[in-house]
Amino acid sequence: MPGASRPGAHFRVDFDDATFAEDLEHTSSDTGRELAQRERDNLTAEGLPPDQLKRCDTEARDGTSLLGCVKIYIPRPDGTWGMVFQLRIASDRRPFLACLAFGTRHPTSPGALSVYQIAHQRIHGQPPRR
Amino acid sequence: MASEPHVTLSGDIVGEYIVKDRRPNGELTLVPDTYPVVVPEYDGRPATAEEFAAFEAEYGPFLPADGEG
Repeated sequence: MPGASRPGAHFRVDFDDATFAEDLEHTSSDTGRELAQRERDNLTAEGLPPDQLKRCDTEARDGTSLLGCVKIYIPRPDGTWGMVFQLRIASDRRPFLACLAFGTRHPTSPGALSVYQIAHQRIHGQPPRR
Repeated sequence: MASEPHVTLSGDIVGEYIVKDRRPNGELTLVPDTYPVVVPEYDGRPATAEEFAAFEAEYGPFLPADGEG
């Protein structure tokens, strides 16, 4: 485990270009896409402190299981969209947050997936059981 | 970047589809929407539950889960 206690420290945040592009393609709102890109730029430059991150649920009411993940709402602190991150250990043994998904928290279109369902599917390789 | 139109079919064929082509006579070309397809590729490995707790001790606690997901 690296270092001693570091209150106020920020986690590095990484994005996978292909998954981020896929999520933007499936975001119907121009505002949502702009906010996501702006948030990505900010997080890549500045990282995130833990007191701005919410734990995800191991067993959420929508059937998703996001053990070891945290999230933010966009716009912060309680916006319509969300980003889900997985806490990972890099090969240099440093912790970082890997963005798993961007999307809407509460989709209204029939068949549309929530950001949690997208993240769940990317972790588990299949949709959540309801 | 504009997203492609999306439709939900019900009837003999059921499911989510993306409209790839839309002709003047109304004919549509649909492909199944299999989103999400892409699996993210990241360095390293997911933190274990013990590491997750240890990082909270080191960096400070995360905000509690809210049951939403």
